[in-house]
Amino acid sequence: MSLEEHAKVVEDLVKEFGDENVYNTKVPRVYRAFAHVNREKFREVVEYLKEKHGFTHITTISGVDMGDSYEIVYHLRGDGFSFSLKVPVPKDDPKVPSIVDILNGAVLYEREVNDLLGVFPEGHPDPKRLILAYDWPEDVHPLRKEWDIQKIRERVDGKRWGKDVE
Amino acid sequence: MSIATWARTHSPWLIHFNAGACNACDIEVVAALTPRFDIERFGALLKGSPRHADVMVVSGSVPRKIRDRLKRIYEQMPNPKFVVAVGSCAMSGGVFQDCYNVMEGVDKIIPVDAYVPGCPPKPEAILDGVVKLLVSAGY
Repeated sequence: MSLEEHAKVVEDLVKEFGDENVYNTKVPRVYRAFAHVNREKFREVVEYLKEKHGFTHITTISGVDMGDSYEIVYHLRGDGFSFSLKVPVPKDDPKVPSIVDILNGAVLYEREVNDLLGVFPEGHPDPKRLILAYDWPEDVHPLRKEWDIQKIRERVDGKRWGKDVE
Repeated sequence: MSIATWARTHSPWLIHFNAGACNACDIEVVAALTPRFDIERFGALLKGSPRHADVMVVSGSVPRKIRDRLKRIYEQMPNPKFVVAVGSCAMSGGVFQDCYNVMEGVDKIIPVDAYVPGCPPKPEAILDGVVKLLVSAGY
């Protein structure tokens, strides 16, 4: 496959969903692509990529706290081609549609994002806690920028502790 | 030296506990058990059960989830019991200091008798830690 063919996949996606739903596309080199996708059209985009272009594997899902919003990055892969879909999520409504019924591999990653960043996967079959400790408070999401280490310890252990305190 | 102290310090049986270590310290502990370094010349023997052990060798930065297990395994050991913290992580959290999920050291959870610094410590250093512990216990 060549760079032109890979760029064509991205162009095809923009043509199918319109540049208001798929934007900021980038194909920096062969076998690599990025795109921003609107949250409302996201499930359809993933389904389209899976059916039409063979992106049948989800490598991982990462979450970023951008300051004024969250950004959930879905790393799709098909035939060696890595496609990262970035979904902006507003802070006052931290939810994303679940894609577990389309790509089964997302089942644990979505729970991890829900634990660490507090972005809830709507429609997930079993959205319980995955990696945080059992006595961890429900509302503390350690990768959110508003939580620093001493704030977390004050909330979880009832006191500030560590090398900066004692 | 009483006969009980003599017997205990000449056969310190070990239990090895990995509290979230990256395996580097564990490999050095295993190396210390091999004939090249030969921890067995002090009567030390690796045991599979905490109920048979006198010395607990702990490596790792003690994540929050393993805290209760560490305490429970420690409580299963018969008295008198000793703890050796192996590696920077087990001493102070090491590079994982200020992580939200890390308790920063074994001594936050259970009392520690000997610290072995290093990332990872050499097998000789682990041997030295165990021997210093035995001397302090009246070898």
